[in-house]
Amino acid sequence: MVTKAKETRTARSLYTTLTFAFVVLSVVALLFSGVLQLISNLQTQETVISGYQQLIAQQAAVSVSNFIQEKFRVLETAIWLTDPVTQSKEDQKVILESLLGLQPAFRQLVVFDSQNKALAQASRLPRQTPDPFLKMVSEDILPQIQEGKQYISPVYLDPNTNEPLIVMATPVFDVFDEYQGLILAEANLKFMWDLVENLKVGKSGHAYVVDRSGSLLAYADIALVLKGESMNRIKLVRDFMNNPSSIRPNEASTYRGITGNLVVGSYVPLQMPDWAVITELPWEEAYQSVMINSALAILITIAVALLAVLVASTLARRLAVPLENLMETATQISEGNRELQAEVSGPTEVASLALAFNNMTSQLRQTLANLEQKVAERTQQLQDTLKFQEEILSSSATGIVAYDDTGQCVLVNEATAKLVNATTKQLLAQNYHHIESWKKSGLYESALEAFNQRKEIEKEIFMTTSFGKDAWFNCRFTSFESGGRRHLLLTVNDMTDHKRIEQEILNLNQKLRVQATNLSVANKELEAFSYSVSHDLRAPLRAINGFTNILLEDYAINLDEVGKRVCNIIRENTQRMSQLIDDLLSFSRLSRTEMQTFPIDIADLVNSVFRELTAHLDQLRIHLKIDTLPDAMGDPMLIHQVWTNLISNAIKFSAKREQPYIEIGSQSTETEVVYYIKDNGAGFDMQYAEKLFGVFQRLHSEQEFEGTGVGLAIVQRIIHRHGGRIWGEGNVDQGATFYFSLPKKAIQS
Amino acid sequence: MSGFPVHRYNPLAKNQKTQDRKRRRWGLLLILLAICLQPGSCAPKITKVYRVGILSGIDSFVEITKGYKEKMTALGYIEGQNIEYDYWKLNNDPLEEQRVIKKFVDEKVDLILTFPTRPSLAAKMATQETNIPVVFANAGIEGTDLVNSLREPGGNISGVRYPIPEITFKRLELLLEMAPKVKTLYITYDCTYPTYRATLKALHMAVLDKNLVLVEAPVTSVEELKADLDRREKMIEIGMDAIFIMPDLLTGSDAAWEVIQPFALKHNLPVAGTMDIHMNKAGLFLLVADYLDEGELAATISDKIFNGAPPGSIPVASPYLNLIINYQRAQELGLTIPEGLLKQAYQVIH
Repeated sequence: MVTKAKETRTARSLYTTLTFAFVVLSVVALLFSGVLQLISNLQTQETVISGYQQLIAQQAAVSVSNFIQEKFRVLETAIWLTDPVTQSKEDQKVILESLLGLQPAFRQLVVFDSQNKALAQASRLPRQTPDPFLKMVSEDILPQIQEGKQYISPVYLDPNTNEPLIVMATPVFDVFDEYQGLILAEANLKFMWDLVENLKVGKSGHAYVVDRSGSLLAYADIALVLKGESMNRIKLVRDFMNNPSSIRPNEASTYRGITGNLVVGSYVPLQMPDWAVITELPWEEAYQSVMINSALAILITIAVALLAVLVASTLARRLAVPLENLMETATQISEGNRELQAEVSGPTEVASLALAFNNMTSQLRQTLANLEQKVAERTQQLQDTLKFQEEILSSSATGIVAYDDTGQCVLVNEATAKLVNATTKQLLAQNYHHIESWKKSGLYESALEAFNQRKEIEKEIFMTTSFGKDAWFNCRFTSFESGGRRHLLLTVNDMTDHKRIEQEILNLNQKLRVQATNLSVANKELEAFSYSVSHDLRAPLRAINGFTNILLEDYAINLDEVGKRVCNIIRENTQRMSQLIDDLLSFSRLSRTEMQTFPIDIADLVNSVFRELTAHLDQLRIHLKIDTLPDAMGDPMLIHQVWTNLISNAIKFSAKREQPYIEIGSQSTETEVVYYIKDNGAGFDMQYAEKLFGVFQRLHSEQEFEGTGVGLAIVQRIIHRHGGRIWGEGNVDQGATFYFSLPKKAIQS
Repeated sequence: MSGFPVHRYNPLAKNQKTQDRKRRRWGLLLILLAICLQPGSCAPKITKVYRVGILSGIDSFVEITKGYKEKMTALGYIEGQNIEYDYWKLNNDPLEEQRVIKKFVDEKVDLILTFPTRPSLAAKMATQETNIPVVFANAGIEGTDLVNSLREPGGNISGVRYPIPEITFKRLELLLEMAPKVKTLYITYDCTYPTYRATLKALHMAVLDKNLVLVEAPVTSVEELKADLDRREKMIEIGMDAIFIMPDLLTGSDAAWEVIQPFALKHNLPVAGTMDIHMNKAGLFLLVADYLDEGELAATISDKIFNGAPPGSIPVASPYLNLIINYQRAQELGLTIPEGLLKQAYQVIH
């Protein structure tokens, strides 16, 4: 029983999925509420920061404004106390030098009269220094000065120090408010640097002053001020430059500040001069409380997430572990440990599942045992079959070779190895695409054709195999599918002996054809000779017979008895000779006569012939037995001749018996009908049986039985022309039986 | 003037503004989350301890170091916590200056603070092949190769200048204003000091429109200076109405003052000094850079460098100049100091 799940779980496991889902749900809910809280905090903090920033900026603006106003107040006080325009030149100089000592920010001072003429000057600079100072007082500003207004010039830089300078002008009036002139002061704004640097903006914030052109006038980083660059890269500076008189209460901007870091900034424009004080608080500091809350929220989220992981893990384990145990049990069962039982534990549903699983595995085990039994039986049968096939293959005299779809030999039997004088190992190493002997002999093309066109190709070929054997082979290629791949099967037989015998037969046949031709010519010549002889002999014979008859009929009186007897002998011999010639002619004609094949009623034919032959005899004396005689196909005239000759021979040779007996019957086989005629006549000695059918062959003297000795020869020739056979059986004085057969299918001549 | 802007209620503008605010809040939220989640935001910050090598070429510049350290402290660099100083104070010893500079370079200090000109030039030379930044104070940039320009010093150096032309011009003006009868001015200077040519050039230009004769005494040692004054002592006429000490470490040294002061006292000569020591007896006035200010400016530049700014891109700063008048000495000499000058003076010794 498996009691512990595997330690490794995949990302898609139930345990991981449940844990992940629970954690995600928890974290999402926390994040959602946290974000809402953060937004709320941000809104609150934004309002607070805006107010705070604006307040600081306004305070800073007051400080900077005071710095300038203080300089004006010093000038006004000096004017009020000393009335510099009306003083002597020396006193004017002392007054101005006193102002230089009083205000370190003043670098130069000049007193002008109402005509705008310089009365006295004091300076910290050497007199040789090129001085743009006086050029700052133009006619344009005089009306403003004369109206009692103070003047501040645009900021300009000292070419030697890059320090920012301004020119301040204050009018001088007498007690009757009459315009007397003015005091012009050049102020070095570097003395504002410390003031601005000391402005407190939060813990690490800073303030700086820019003029309307965006130039930096005062800032803790004096290097930046000395560079004299425009600060218009800063969003708030641009806002001021675009709208220098606008105040944006309760609005703090977040942007990249003068240090390049993210800041929350605010600006307050000064009315006099037209500068702006910008305060910037690092974003982190401005939103520190929000950040702390955020960090706290994140920590809480993480803590809750961890708790969620713990809870989710516990819950998931309660559900997942029994399932994983069940899965592990199933896995081990699948790996062969079939006797294993799943642990029944966990929630009710899972425990029920485990019980059901155990029942199922029990049934499966039984089923599996049955299946294995069947498989074993089938396997044994298959092995037997394979062994049987292998034995057939190995015992086959025919070579059998199989090639796969790459041409590689995959199967070969011993017969093939013997056929080509090789080992099966050598043949198995072959790929028919690379067998040179196949390519030379044309066998390769046949193999390709059979394989590609999926047809059977047989070829007999003489070739020298790769292993040096010269032989005739009968090769049959067949394409077949096996295991999803196409194969090529080659069956091969050594045809060398067969070819040799075939060649010998051909040679013999050739000889036979020559001999047959010669024989045919000889026969034709013989037949022509016989016909010619027979035909030519008939004329002198008829002449002899005719003249002999003339002698006997017309000159009988002149002949004595001997003469008459001689003439009769001549006439009988000529008649006999005529009969011989007739028979001979008939015999020779048989070879040339065209056969006409028709169905023949043999029984009717036999009865007809017997009646014809016994018409002048005592038919009752002859005991004739005729069995069933089936019909036959043949030339009716010639078959009639056969039965005539055989029945007449039976009557002739049994005539000397007291009770002649003739039996005519038949035996039928699948291909032919054998007819026979049996008599109880003189019979013959079987040693002369072969001579019975020769022309003019006789086994009895003419005195014993008349005849020319041509009848059976004619019968034999007719039967042979019909494709049949003829033979005779007999014993001397015990009768004879002649058999002849006719094929059931007529022979076309 | 276009007058006050007129504001009217615009519902579309209000909607746009509301949307802008919402967008800005979401932007802020994202920034907040990004900062909170960025790696290392919660990690403890490792405080780097900066090592600053300070080399003062002469004893008189104590205030520069003081101003520097105070400002650095104000900027958050607490000695012993995140900054260490290796302070060397020499007494006009060029070879020792180079040795100390080499020591700083070998120890790979984070920054070298040097003053005045000669040690600063030595530091610049020694750190050319390194990344060690050099901040100078009280160093003359005119006539030297210390920086490329006021606004872009270049290289790995920046600092606070000693304004040679302005101060030389002004010192001469002040001397003549306080002692208008001076016609022959004795100027002695270290003719090996890097700034002497620039100072001399400024002085020559300053006297162009004045009826004034410059009696130059270039020296390379206090002994030479003494020998020159001794030689003049033996002459019927010493050939000078006043002494104008040049801003270099030789003539500004205690040893040189011990030679000059008796001579000036003996012959009732007003002396335009360059160092604090010159104000104890014989010196008439002193126009000098505010050393504390110089130290503070140098600290500001150092802070900027520590925060990643390339030293060569930080403009050279100019110090505030202080005028110190020895009213007692003026009275001894029978000189009337103009009231305006006395009121301008940073300090009046009486």
